[in-house]
Amino acid sequence: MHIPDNYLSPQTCIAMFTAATPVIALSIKKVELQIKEKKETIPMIGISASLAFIIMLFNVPVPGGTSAHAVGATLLALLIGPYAACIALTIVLLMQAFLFGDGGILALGANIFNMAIIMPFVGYFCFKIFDKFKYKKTGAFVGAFIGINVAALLAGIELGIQPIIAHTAHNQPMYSPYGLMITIPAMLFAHLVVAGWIEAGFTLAVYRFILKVAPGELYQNVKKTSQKSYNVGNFFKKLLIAMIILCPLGLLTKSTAFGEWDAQELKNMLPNHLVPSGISHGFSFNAIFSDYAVSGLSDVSGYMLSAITAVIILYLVSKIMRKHYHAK
Amino acid sequence: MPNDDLPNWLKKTNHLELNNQVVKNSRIIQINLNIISFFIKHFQNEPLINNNKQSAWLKLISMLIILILVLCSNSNRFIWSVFIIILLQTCQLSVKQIERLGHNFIKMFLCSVIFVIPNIIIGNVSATLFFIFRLAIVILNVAYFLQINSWQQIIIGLKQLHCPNLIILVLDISLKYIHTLAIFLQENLWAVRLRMVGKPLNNQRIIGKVFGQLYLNSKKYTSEVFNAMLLRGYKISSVHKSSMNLKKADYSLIATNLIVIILFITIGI
Repeated sequence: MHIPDNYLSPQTCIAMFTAATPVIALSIKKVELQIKEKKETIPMIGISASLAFIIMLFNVPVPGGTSAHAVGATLLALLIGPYAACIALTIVLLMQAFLFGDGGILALGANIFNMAIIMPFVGYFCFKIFDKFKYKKTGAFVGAFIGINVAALLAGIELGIQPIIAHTAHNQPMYSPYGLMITIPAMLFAHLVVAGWIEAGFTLAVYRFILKVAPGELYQNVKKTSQKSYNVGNFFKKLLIAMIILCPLGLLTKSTAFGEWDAQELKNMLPNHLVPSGISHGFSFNAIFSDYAVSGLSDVSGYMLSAITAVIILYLVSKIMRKHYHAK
Repeated sequence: MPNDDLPNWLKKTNHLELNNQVVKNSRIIQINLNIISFFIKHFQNEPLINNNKQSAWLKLISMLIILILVLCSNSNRFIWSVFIIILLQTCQLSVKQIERLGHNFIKMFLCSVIFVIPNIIIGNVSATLFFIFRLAIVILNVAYFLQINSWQQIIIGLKQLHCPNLIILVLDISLKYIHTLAIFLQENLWAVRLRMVGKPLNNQRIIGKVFGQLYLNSKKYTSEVFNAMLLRGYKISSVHKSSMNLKKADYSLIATNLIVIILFITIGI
């Protein structure tokens, strides 16, 4: 799955680097937090990277007499956690590109994105789903299988879009010459039929052994012992900030929401233009921020100001109620 | 009267099936032993790096500039010029280095070119040939870079280019421990091979045990490495920072890069 140089256009390489950088940065931040708690994490990631490298050297028999190697991305995510696995695999890809010429140097961003980000995170996510239903081994197997296939699909898309985005005036492709119709089936076929099973079988075999011999060494179990209670408050704070920023999206729709029409709008909509008297002569209240608009401000600013005001009022109410509740 | 029938134990076929399974398993183990042995030898060999006095960061940047320009160019003349420049640089290497460069180049080129060969059959001959030519230059440039740099120099280069400390430290540790883990894996595979004499073993279980054990051992190594790091005065926030100074030997590399950039502007676009 290592994409060599010259197969991806410089634009794609830059885009893939841009996509991979924030995830790597986040992983570094997460791992740095782990390091603060447990300083041995640094050598652990280094040695895990060596382990991932060795895994890629090891050939596994394939039915039919040949052999192929596993990547071990999901396995690493199960052993040391997805963030640490992401860094370890990035290191492995760096080594392979810079020391052995395996995989391109400019295509490193794409390779990191596919193999060091997508594979361990997708694999770990699938594992977590099965783990909820207590199917750990099935989760490890399915996670590894899906992880490698999603990564292969992405590699197929990256290669397949090259003739579309980079071609000469005579429509000759400048980089990977095959279109999506060839690259996606080719990549998926190879991984669905052969590589996926090797990855899944390998992951399951090692995971099963460690689960049996030393279950405490698995990331999930290590995490459980040192896990802090999840801060729900922080989550809601972030959610609220995101909602405030995104609330002007409501302005994209010009029409009024169903059931919120005023008398004039209702009159225009009804076929006989007859508005019920209860509505036409009913109680009407002019709020300060009517329709979330503030005089002298644009619609977007008005929307955001309304949201901030509502949040502050709700925060104050909740604070008073919390105090009242604790006092009881 | 002599009995012509074969004895029952010779008629049994499950012995043969058993042997076939043993042979199959031991073949896989042998293949992996060969790969690991080759790899260990590769790491034990002293790198053939000449006394190159150019700055590591500049060599890294120079390689990237040439790669990007070659990839952005669609001109045969420009790529040919870059080819000549790389060949001139290669002339400065020793014979052993050139041999190794050639060997690496062929290996990397064959691995990369195999995917594009079917395109010739589809009919895009001229475009594919140009693609292969450009691919060869890209790989030659990378092979030359790998030949003039040891991994220590690459790490120094990355440090000078302000790559995150965590990445550099992990890279350094993993490069040192690949060799240790490979030796451990080799020993384990030998042990498995000896235990396989005469009885078949389940391949999946063997792999699970070998790599599970390798992981558990690597966890043990972790504490050793950490103690060694503490003894050497390790602190999380590194105070030492490598600066990006220019040396006298760097000017020739800068001149080469300038020539490549000028060629790209004049004939490369």
